[in-house]
Amino acid sequence: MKESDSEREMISIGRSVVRPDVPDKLLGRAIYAADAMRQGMLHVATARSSVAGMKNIQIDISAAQNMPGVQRVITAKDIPGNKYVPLIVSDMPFLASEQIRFYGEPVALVVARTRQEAKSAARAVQVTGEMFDPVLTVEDSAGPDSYVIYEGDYEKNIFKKYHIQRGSPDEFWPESHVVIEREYRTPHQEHAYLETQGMIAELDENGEVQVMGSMQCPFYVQDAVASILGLAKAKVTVIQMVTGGGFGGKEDVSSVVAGHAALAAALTDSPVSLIYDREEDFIAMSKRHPSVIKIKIGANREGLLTAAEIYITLDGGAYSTLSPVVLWRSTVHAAGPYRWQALRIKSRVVATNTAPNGAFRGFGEPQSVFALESAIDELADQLNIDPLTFREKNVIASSSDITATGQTTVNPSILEALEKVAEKIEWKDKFTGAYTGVVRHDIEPIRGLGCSVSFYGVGLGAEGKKLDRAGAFVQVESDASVRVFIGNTEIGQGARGVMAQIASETLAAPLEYIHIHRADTSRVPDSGPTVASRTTIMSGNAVMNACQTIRQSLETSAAMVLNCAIDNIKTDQRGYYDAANPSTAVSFHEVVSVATAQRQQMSSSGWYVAPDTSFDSAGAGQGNAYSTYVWSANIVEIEIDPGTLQVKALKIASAHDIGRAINPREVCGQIEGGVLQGLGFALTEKVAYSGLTPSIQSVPDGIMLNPGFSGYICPTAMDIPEIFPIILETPYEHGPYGARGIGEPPLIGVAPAVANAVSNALGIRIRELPLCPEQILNELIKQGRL
Amino acid sequence: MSKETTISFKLNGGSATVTAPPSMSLLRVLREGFQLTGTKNGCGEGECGACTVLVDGESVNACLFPVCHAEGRQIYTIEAFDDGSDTVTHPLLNEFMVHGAVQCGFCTPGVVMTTAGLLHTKPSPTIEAIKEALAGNLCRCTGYGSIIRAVQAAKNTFFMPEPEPREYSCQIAETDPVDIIPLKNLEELANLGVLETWDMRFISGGTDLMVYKNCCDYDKTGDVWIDLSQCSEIHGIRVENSKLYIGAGTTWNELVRDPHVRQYAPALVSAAKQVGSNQIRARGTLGGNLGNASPAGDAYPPLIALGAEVKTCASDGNHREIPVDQLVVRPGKTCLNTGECITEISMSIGSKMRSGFFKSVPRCAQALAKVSVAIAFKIDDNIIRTPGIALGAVGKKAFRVINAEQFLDGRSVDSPGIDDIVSACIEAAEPAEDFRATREYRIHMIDVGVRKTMNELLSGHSE
Repeated sequence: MKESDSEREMISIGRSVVRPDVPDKLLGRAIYAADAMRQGMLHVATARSSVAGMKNIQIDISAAQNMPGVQRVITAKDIPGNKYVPLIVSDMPFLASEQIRFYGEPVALVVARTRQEAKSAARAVQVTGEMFDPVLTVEDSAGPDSYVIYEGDYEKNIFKKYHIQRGSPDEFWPESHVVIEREYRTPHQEHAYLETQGMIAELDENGEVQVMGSMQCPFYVQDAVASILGLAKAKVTVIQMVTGGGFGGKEDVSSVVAGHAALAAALTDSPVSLIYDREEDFIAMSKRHPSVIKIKIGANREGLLTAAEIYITLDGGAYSTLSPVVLWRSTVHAAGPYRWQALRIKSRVVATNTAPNGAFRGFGEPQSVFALESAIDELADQLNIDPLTFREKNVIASSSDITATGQTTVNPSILEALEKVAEKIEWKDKFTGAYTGVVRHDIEPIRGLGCSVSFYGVGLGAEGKKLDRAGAFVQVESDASVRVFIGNTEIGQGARGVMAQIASETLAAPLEYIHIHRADTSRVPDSGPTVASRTTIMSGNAVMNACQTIRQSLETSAAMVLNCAIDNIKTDQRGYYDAANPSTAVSFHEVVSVATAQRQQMSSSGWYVAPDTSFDSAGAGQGNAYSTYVWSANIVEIEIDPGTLQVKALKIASAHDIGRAINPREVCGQIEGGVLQGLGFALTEKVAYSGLTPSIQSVPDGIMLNPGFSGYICPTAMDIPEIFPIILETPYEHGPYGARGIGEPPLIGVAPAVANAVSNALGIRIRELPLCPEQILNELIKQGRL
Repeated sequence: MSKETTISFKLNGGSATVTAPPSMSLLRVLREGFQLTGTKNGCGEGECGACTVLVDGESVNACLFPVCHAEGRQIYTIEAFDDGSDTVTHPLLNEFMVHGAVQCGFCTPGVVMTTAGLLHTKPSPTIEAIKEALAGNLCRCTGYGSIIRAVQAAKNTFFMPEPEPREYSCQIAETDPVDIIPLKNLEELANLGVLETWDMRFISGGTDLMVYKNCCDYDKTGDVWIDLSQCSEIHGIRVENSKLYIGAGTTWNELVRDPHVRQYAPALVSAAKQVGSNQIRARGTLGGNLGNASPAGDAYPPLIALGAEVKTCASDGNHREIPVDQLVVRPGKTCLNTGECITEISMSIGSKMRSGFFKSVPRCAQALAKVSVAIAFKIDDNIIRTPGIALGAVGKKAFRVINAEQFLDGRSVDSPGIDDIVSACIEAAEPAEDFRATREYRIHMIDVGVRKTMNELLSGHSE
């Protein structure tokens, strides 16, 4: 095992093999939550608030109770256990009973024979009370007269604050050659996973509860179910079903869905199914936090960055949920992978009367990276330096350079990533100044190039380190098939395949022998959430750890068969062999037969704890925030239609140093998919609320106006650019076979690169997403260029 | 309330019989009645395509397909590709597998069926044709690249699977708030009798009504749907006495394919091509679009510009003709009486007639118009005659811009006075400000749309 990976041919690692979950999905055999049936199953529908703000509420369920097929209508008072969803701060009720704090907030559950009956009856639940003016923006949230949505450790309506200070930026402003101050804004983004939320819950004769469904984090769900029912966690089993996408949207909010389903099952003593409609999924589920970010940055005459001051405000929505940790990641990465001589970052996340915002691929970073990478370009522009060159001069490039939190990193590879994307898009040949003339519909489309860099701390980091561990269980059966249980989930990203490749490699077993079970909380200890691009490192290491124990048994038996010393045993595609006599190998199957007959230990649990991290949250916000970072660079080439002013991305090169690609084709799949989601964030995706957006409907403020795919505009197959994924592989010493993670980084840098390309094309700077043609029109009108 | 009906059709090569409320979606029948859960429900609005199945070789959204329309049809679902083997055996699915075109898998069955529909008719599609076909299938994981590469790799190898025929039979007893009354011909309309007491709608393709039904918006669904889809009077396209006649039941895809429409009404073809997705265009009809009376209805501007009229049939058997620009009273409401339906659309044609259409949209496919512009005229001796100029999505209904038409009428092609036409159009519009677009942008799009369309129509004309 000690031989370096590069010295030998790998069995499974680094191969673009077909994922094990794919055939069933292709054939329509895969069973998602909505596909599951149970004997005597009842259906649950959620009654929701039709306004965004109401206090002293009364919930009238009498009409609903008398509707056809209705078995039971459930409100908060029926909850036997904890009435609040367990999370960082447990402020969100499972069912509202005193106040309505957002449009679509759940107030009651209707259990009926059919889904249609449950849905009809849910609409008959009446909520009355005193309406108040909902708080819809971060500016309103702090207003003197604004409604008090949340009171905690800080001022009114502030969920959490962070502060990072290194040196004194004020000292650097006078000596900076150029200083800019700008404000940037980003909107909500909806996950738009294709499978809506869904859960199946049932009780068995021992009073144990089993919940199955669509989710990213079975251990969060287990917590929530035990909590709402007042049951010991040992009596709650959570099993993840095939899950149709998550992107963060099935991180914490699935706990609500599961809690509701479990409650309905417990109170009706029947198996129940709770499947969301698309509309309620849009209305009530989490989104990416909107942001307002103010940035002041400077550079000296040589074009070197001096200091940064960054003020971040995130809109957390009605309840705190994951906002504190989203804010932390946003804060820690806000100064980017740059060498600053001094910096100050202050951040806060505030309450508004909108659906609670939470995890979404990038977790607070896409917002701060959009702001910073836009500002870096604006600064380069003022200095009259090519923005790519400006970045090359200033990015963290050596192991002695430090991040905002004062952390040094191993082999930062942004420069290499930049070089690769620049080469791919031919930056040096194509990058020219902006078109600054009149934009008439009959001129040629206007092209532009934009770049961005980012870094991404993999895993939960210092503020989430309590949860940063993972378990696994591996058992080699007597027929040499291998069953593997992991605590992280397959949500489409390819986790099962990666785990199979790691198990195959470590055991020297043929890949097709490996069977990865679905995540089941009764089989693996709490392994933390499937988030933060952490599964490859965390579950991967846990699987390796378990496989290494079994491998010792296999090596012992192989040494006996081959009549050599255990230390001499090596493996390759053929199986186990004696390094001194490599021509003869014993197959994995054979070694397993022998080892089984010899009563060797053929199963093992595995455990992995992430390397220690630190963050001085009470002090200056310094520390080793994350144990490793993915280094990324993007270049986007766009074309602007001179008539419609729409931005069309033509090419996007996206490079990421992920340590090691376990399955390169699937890594490219993550990059392509993440880039397109980032492009949607950049160009078209936005949630609209009455009170903020004019509407012809006459509705109270705070109602979501576009809760569906016809109003919320995601990219289609006709909107895609040519995407060039580029994988860099500087091994991570603690990663399984050197791997880090890739889930989130591809989305993060796309929007600023597009904004920078728009600026390069037309000489106009749009500081708010999405970069819709309406905004470009406004700028052109301001400049008198139509 | 609905009466259950029994419907028989071919399903995956076998025979299927279902007794269910006739307006129940094919999707629910497949999933709940036959336990064929490979076909997924992603939105219920015909936007995501996860429920795509093949009906007589064409890909459609099963969520918007009332099961009564399945009678006698040949339907294929993803399960047709499952031959019971351990893994995939069909070459198309194999390409999806080896190209990494599957991640979460929820959109996958729909994507495969759309692809099957494409390759079945076009064995070797261009990359543009592949993207166009897939535009009605949202995928949030892959970024589409791997899917497109898989389809390209499957070119010229596709064949429809021939699964072992099975018998499918089920009964779904459910109280459905919507009943469907099928008509064999329009004469039957007179026999229905009690129309006034019903809150009734006419249905043909169902791409609007089924959306309302799936969203439980029963104010919009009404309680009785009179099904015209089997009436021969509303089908067919013909040219007679210098007029083009288009049956109200003509689908968008039929319009796009028809040589007469292509020749005489290019603006209508252009509009039809941009409606919804391929799945929607296979089912949605011209008459349905007009009857729905949406201010952004895609058929209105081209038909108004082309001077089209609708022919209607009332329950007493009387017919009348109404110019398309006088059809709508207010958003969602036409001037038709209860029991009166649109049967045919007609317009005068001439070899010198030109027409063009512009639609401002937020993305390249599947989008409602922010603004639409249609212009039509003929050129006689370099003089523009009988112009029609219409705008959509910038008022309570699509409308004719009479001032602009008057400006243009009789102008020479060399100095058509486009600036004046643009001003007249902007003057006439009442663009709203909403989440789809700002007022300023809509005004700018009128400007751009009129100029682009005029330039297009006049280009190459310098005699």
